[in-house]
Amino acid sequence: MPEQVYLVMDSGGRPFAIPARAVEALRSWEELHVLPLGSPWLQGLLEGEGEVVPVLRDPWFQGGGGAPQEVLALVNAGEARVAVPGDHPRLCAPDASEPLPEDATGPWSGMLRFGLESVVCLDPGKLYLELGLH
Amino acid sequence: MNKLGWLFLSVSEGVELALPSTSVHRVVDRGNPDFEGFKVEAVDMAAFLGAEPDPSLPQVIVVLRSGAAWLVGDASLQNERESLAYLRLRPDYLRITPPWCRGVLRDARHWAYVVEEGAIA
Repeated sequence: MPEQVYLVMDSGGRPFAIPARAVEALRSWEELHVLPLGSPWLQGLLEGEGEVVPVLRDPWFQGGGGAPQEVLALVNAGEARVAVPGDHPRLCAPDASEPLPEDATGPWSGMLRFGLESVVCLDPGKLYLELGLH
Repeated sequence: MNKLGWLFLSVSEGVELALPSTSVHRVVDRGNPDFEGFKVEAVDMAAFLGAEPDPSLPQVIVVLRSGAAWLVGDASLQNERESLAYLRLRPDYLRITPPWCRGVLRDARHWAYVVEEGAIA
């Protein structure tokens, strides 16, 4: 049974999990600055302790296509930080972990089971690589 | 402390640009008889950036030393003795090449994108 705690958020009505140890802070959506002519994967920018942090548009999370969300999770993605938008943030401990479906694509490390619900889990390092920012 | 003064250009709600004041030749407001003449050739920055112009702003034309002219909502000078933090922006955050923006200037009042003049046409 996984002992780790996860931040679970919803995007487009679907939950996803981030290892809580990778989450540095939760910030308000209101802090997001829109970047004109920004990359398609970029929702906008956030200031983070002397650096510009990219806020991800959520192609993997089936999100609301850029609609305002409740919070921005500031995530340590290994080489840099990124901000991931989501709704209804909560800390959860999973009951079990499961492998990803074979056809799964995206920056996921696996599935987590919370009660009856199965939730994809974000791999922050993989996310950063998939964005091509390494 | 910055050696340069900055001219801040308001384009739309939430979008502010910054230019070194040394790049600016003059700022022409709507009451100036030269305004309409410059406007013909000026780059409309709201249209360039795909931003919604703010109708509450007066509109001014910024004439650069390079000869380029930009139509923006408003312009204001930043006192050069005030401290501003500069945050570098990675080019791959931008959709167009050459990147139109190279960084962000920020203080308590501003989050302004520092414009790469040569990329605006």
